[in-house]
Amino acid sequence: MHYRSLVRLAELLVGDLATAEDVVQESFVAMHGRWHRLRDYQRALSYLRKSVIDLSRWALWHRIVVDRNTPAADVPGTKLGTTSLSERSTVFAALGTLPPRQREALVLRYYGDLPEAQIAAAMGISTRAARRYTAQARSALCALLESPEA
Amino acid sequence: MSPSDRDFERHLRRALHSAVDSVEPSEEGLDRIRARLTAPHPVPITWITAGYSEVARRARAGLESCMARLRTWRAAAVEHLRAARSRRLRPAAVLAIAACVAAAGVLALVPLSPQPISPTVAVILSFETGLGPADGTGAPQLNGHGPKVPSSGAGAAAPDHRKTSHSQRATARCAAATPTPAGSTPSAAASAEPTTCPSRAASGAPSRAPSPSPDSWSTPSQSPSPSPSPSSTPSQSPSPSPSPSSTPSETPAAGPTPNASP
Repeated sequence: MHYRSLVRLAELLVGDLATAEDVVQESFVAMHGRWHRLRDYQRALSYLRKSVIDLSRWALWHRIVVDRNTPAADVPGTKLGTTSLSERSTVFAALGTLPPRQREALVLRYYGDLPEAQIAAAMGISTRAARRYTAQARSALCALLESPEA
Repeated sequence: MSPSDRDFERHLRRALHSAVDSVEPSEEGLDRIRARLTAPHPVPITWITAGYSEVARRARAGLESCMARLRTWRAAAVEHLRAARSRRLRPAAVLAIAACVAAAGVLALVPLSPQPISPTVAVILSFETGLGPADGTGAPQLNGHGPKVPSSGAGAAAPDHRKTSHSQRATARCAAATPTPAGSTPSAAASAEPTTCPSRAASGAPSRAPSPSPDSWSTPSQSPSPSPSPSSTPSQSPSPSPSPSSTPSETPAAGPTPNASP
């Protein structure tokens, strides 16, 4: 059950199902390797969520580096805002235009339905920063959705 | 939060769910995770991991023992330093106390020489007897003005000095300062020659000016205190002390015989 929800969360973050599956699998394996270090087993899901967010961020950075050094035609369907976005909804396309932090905050807030404290803990930032990122992402997405170009 | 914001959030939430709820991850994902978790490590990696863990455990134990030993040594060193410091300070304190006691004993047993304190004693005595300087300053003055501090001599060193008069003091000073010829006796000093103190003359300031103090030491004594002069004047004093004068004496080399009066 958690695997599926986490894959969907990762897909919202990275915009690619295959990458999202890899990210979630890596997160599960990493958590299994450090299972004895967990102090509170009830927080395993939070740890998995944080791991998914970190690995998604790393995957996005890796993709940016690859896109810089590789022609765009060589990696079809891996970008968040070009080919794959044409087949998805408008909300999903607008989500790809947000900065990574704002996207994470928005996804955790409106897809994960997490409170600000858990958003901050998952992102590794303060509650105030999480609130600020969420507000900025919402206003930016609102502007994108209300504009005729979006 | 305005209703429009709520509507927007509701719309955003529904859109996000509708965008990804249709996505179904492949069934191979969980199998892949299980395969990665249950796959045994290669033998070298297993050995390396086991060796690393064993080495790490031993290294940690060794470090802990070293830290404990260092802590013990440090505590022992601190204790040793404290003991050494106290041991070093105790003899030093004993030596200092012994030195103080010895110094106090020496000062108590050995009488102080009157030479260094005689001027101070004279000044104090002059104040005690009410013979302080007339100007009221009480401080000794230079060039013969003001109270003259008696120099070290017979008068200053005499124990019953405070009972002697100032004239006698002056006489004693004059006697001490005047070069006495060989063979002269104190009886020769008893000649009635009213001379002023030669020391005054010798000092180059034979001031006969009246001092403001009527009884000051600097006042030349007008008393007939004789000065020991080798004059050939026969002594009018009844003391038949032998003198280089023409007075016949049976024992010319004999000392003064005050009781040999005729």
